[in-house]
Amino acid sequence: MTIGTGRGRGAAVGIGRRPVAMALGGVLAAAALAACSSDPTQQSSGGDTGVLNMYLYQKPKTFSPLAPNNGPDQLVMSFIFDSLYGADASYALKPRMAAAPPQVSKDARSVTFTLLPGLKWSDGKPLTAKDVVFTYNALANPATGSAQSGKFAAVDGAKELADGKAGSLKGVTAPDDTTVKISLSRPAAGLPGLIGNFPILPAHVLGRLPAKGLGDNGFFTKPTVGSGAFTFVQYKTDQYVELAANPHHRQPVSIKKAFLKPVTSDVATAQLGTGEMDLAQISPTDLPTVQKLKDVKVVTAKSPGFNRIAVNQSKARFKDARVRQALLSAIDRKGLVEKVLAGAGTVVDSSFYGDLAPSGTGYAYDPAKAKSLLAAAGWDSSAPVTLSWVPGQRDRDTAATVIQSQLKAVGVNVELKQVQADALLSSYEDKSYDLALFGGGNYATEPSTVATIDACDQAYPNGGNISRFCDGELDGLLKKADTIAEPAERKSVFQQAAKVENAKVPYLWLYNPDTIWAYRTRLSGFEPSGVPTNEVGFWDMASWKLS
Amino acid sequence: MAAYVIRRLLVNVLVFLLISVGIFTLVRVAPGDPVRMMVDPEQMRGGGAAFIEAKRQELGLDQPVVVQYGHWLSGALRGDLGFSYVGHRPVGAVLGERLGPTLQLMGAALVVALVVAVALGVAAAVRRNTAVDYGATVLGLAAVSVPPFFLGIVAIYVFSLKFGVLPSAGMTTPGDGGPLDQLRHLVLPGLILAFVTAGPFTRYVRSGLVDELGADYVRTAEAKGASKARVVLRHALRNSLIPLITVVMYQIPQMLAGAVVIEQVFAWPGMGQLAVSSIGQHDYPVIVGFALYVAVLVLVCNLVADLLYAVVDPRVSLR
Amino acid sequence: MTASTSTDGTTVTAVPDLKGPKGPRGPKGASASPRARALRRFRRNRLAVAGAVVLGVVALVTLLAPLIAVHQPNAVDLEAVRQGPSGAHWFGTDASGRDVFARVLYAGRVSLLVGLTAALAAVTVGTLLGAVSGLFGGWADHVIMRAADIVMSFPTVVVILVLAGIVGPSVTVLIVAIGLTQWPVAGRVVRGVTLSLRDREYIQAAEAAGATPWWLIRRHIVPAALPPVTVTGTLAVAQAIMLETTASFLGLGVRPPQASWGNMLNDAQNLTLIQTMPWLWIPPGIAIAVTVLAVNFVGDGLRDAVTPAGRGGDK
Repeated sequence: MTIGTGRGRGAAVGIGRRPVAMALGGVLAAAALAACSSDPTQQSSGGDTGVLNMYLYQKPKTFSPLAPNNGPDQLVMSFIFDSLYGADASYALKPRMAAAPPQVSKDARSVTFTLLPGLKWSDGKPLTAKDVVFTYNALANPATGSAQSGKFAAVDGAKELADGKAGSLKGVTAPDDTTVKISLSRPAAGLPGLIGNFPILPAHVLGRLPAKGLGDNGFFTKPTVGSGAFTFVQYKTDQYVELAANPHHRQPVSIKKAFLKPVTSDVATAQLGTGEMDLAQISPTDLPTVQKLKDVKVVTAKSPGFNRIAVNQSKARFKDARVRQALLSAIDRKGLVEKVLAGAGTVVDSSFYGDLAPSGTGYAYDPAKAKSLLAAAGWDSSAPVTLSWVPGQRDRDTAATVIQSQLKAVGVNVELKQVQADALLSSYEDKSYDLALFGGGNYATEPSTVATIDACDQAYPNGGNISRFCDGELDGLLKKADTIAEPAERKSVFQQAAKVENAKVPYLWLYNPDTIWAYRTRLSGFEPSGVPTNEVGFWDMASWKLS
Repeated sequence: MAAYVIRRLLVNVLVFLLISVGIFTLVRVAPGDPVRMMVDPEQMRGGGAAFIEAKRQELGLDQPVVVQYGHWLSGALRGDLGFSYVGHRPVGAVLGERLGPTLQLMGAALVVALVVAVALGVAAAVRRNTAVDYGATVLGLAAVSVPPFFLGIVAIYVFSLKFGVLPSAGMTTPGDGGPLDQLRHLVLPGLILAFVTAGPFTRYVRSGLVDELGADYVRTAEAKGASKARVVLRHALRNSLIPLITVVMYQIPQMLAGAVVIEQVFAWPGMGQLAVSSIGQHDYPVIVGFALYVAVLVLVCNLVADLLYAVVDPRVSLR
Repeated sequence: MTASTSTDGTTVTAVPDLKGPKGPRGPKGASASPRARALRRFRRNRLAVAGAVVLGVVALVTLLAPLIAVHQPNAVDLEAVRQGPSGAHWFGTDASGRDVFARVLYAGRVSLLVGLTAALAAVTVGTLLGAVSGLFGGWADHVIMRAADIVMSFPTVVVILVLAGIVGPSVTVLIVAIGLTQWPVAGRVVRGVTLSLRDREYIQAAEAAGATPWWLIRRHIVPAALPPVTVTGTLAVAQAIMLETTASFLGLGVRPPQASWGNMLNDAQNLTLIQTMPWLWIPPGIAIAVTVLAVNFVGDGLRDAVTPAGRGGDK
C-alpha cells in the first residue's frame, strides 16, 4: 500500500458495496456478510488514506478552554487549538505559537510574550496578539463561566474584572500584532507556566459576543475555527470526533484526517490488533496482549502526575508529622510498582518533579521504623482509619487492598471505603475522611503550582489542598520563588521547598504511573507523552505521518 | 372502546406525573452535587469555592426542590426538558440523538429473537419431550444464565481480534458509515441481545402451541386428514401467536435493560450509555429525562399490549 | 438479559388475563396429599432433580467455605500476584495475590445471600399486596393491579442503575430494587389464589364470624399460595443472582474487597485476562452459570409439579 492520499475513500466504498453482499440482505445474513469481507484493515480506514484513528479514554463533554479541566476535552482541544507554549520532555516550556521564551522582568512584575509573525486561523484570518488578549480576558473573567480565573489573580486588574467593576483585564495589552504585554499587581515569575499553554480562541468569531455566559456558546460544542494542526469537523456523539488537517496551520500537516474514538480500553486494545485503531493509551494489564500484536509498537513515558493518599490533617491524630512518615514507611511502594503496575511506574517522595525533588531522603519500606514512629507519636491503634477512594481503576483498586493489609501490619486499623466521586469530594469539603487515595496533578511545567495542593490558603474547595496541610515555611518559600525571575536561583528555592515538603509529608506519595502508549507502526513521528491528555501541549501533531 | 382508551390514557398521564415527581425528588434529595463533579479546585488557584457557588446559582440548585420541580414541569409541558449540565445542550436533543441507535439495536435484536423463538418454539412443541424440546429448554435457560457482558467480550475476542471478521465496537466505521458498514457493526451486539431475549419468547411459543395442539379444532382438522404441518402452521401456530404479540410488547422495555449493558460493551452510542455516563456525572436533567423516557416506553408498551389484546380477544372485558 | 429471567419463568402468570385466573391446585385437592403428588412429579423431572442436587452442593460448599478454603478470601500476597493454579492456590491468585478458590467460595455466600434475600423481599411484598388486592377488591385491587402491570414492565437493571446511581451502590440498594420491581409476579399469583379462596364456604364463614383480614392471610391464603409462590420465588433467586452480576459490571454491585461472583467476573473483564489468565474468570463464570441454570431448572420443575395440568409443560 502506498502513501496515496485522498483516493482511499473511494476504494473503501468499493470494498463495502460488494454486489454479493448486497444480494443477501437482512439482519440474519449479516454474519455471512462479515465473512465475505474478511480484511478488517482494509475495511476500517481504507489503509492508505492518511486517516489516523486515536483512542479517547473517555467521552468528551465540551471543547471549551473556559470550562473546568476535563481530560478528554483537553486532548481534543490540543488537536484543534494551538497555544503560545507547550512542554518539552522535561516539562519545561517550549514555544509553539510564541517566537521566543517568555520574557519575565527582573522584579517579576511584568511578562512579555512574542508571537510568530504571519499566524493564521483555520479560516484564513490572521491570528494576532489581539486574539491572545481576548482569550486571556475571557479566561480571567468568571462571568464567562470560566473556571480558570484564579490563574490570572496576579494580573493587574484581575480583581476589578472578577468583581464586575471593570469590563476588561487592564494588565493585558497588545502593543502590536505580535506582542502581548502583561503587567502584574504582585510578583509572579510563574505566570507563563500557569497560562502559557492555554488554547487561544478566535476573537473574530467570539469577540463580539457578550462576556456573560460566553462559555455556553454553541461554538464550544462545534469549534470549527481553530489554529491547531487539525480543524474540527464534527463530534458524532459517543462515537468519534472527526478532525481534518488545518491548511493554515503554522506547519504543513501530513495526516489528512483524524478520528478520536471514545471506546472501552478493551475495545481499544482489540482495535489496535485489527487496525481500526492507530494510537491508544493502554493499561499495564494489557501490555502482554499488546506486545504480541503484529505491527504494534509500545512506548512508555514518565508521567508528572502521581497517585497519592491525602491525610486529613484537620483531625488531631494525623497532625503529627511522625504519624504521616510512619504511614508512608509502612507501604511497600516499590512492591506496588513492580507487582501492580508491572514495573511501569516510579516511586516518588515529593510533590515536586524531577531534579527538584530531594534525592536520597526517601521513605523506604520499613515496617519496624513505621511501628516505632507510631509508638513515639502515641498512635492509638484501636481506632479505625478509613481509606476512601473511587473504585474502577484496576491498579488503584489493587493498591488500596494492598495498602490496607500493609498498614494493618504496623497497627493501623484501616477500613476500606469505596465511594462515588462526589461523595469523596464532599468528604473533602466537610473534612470527614481519614485517608483518601486519588491520582492526578502535573506540577512539573510550573513547580510553584505545588502550592495548590500544599499551601495554607488553598484548602479544599478553594484550592486543591485536600490534606489541609499548612506549613508556614513551605508557603514562604513558594511565595519567594514567585518573586525571582532568574531561573537558576528560582530552582534552588524550589529545591529548598521540596526538602521541607519531603520532611513534613503532606501526602503519602505513592508512585507516578508511566503512561503507556501503543501505536501501529504505520504511524511515525509520534513521541510518547507522560500527560496523556496532552494539556501541556507536548505533541507536534503536524509532524505525525502515516505510511 | 373509546371511553376505555381515554380512561387508560388519563391513568397513564397520572402515573407519569407521579413517576416524574418521584424521580425528581429522589435525584435532588439524594447526596451528591453535580457542580462538585464539574470542578477540580486543584486547577483553580484559590477560586474554587466562589466558582462552585456561582455555578450552583446559575443552575438553580440553590432553590428548594419544590421550586425546582415547578420550573422543570412548566418547561417540560412546553417540551423543554432543561439543559444537560455536562453536554451544555438541551436534554431533548441529547436524548433524541441516542434514541435512533438504541431503537436500531433493539429492533434488530427483536426481529432475530422472534424468528429464532418461533422456529425453536414450534420445533419444541411439535416434538414435545424429545431431544429438540429439551435442547430448546436448555438453550433458553442458558441464554439467561450467562451474563451478556461476558458474552460480549468473548465475542469481541473471537470475532474481531482472533478472526478479524467483524468490527469490535461502535456503530459505524468513522469515514465510512454506509448501510453495509452499519450492518456489520450491528451483528455482534444485535445477536447477543437477541440471544438473551429469545429465551422467554421460545418458552411462550412452545407452551402456547402445545395448548393449541390439544384443542378440539386441531383434533378435528387432523381427523379430517389435514397434514400435521398444515395443521401446525395454518391453524395452531396462528392462534398461538396472537397472545405472543402482547408478550412482545411487555418485553420491549425489558430489552432496554439488556441494551444498557450491551451498549457499554460495544460502545454503541445509545440510551444505555447515556444513562450510565450521566448517572456517573450527576447530570440531573439528563437522568430525569432518561427515567421519564423509560416510563413513557413502559406505559406506551403496556397500553398497546392491553389494546391489542382487547382487539384480538373479544372475551376480554374493557373495564 | 437478566431482567427477562423474570418473564422467562413467569411470562404466563405475568401477563394479565391472558389465560384467565389460575386457581391453585393445592387447596382444591386438600383430601389426599397434593404436596406428595407434586414432589413425585418433581422427582420425575430429571433436569429439575439435577438442578436441585447441584444447588445443594453449591450451598453446602459455600456454607462450609471456612473449612474448605485454606486461605483467607481477602488476604493479600504481593509475592504471589496472578499466579496460575497450583498446589498452594488451587484456582490461582488474582491481581492482589488473593486466593481465587477461597474468594469463589466466600463470594458464593454473598451472591446466594443477595439472591435469596432479594427474592424473599419480592415474594413477601408480592404476597401481601396480592392478598390485599384479592381480599378487598374494589379500588384497592384496581390500584394494586395497575401498579403491578406498570412495575412489571420496568426493567430492573434500569431501576438499579437509577437508584444506585443516585443513592450510591450497596447490597441494600440491590435488594430493594429487586424487591420493588419483582413483587408483581408473586402478587398476581397470590391474588388469584385469594380470589378463588374467597368463594369458599369456610372462608366466608370465617369472615362472617369476624375474622380479620390479617388472620385470613396468615391462616388460609399464605398456606394455599405457598406452592405457586415458591415457584416464583425460586425463579426470582436466579434472576437476582444475575442482576447482582450485571450491577457489578455497571460498577453498582457488591463493593470490593468483599467478593461476589459478579464483581470477580467483572474484575476479569479484560481482553488480556480472558486470554491469558482463565483462572480469574472461569471459576466465578461457571459458578454463576451453573447456579443460575440449576435454580432455573428447579424453578421450572417446581412449576410443572405444582400446576400439572396447566401450560402443557409435561416434561
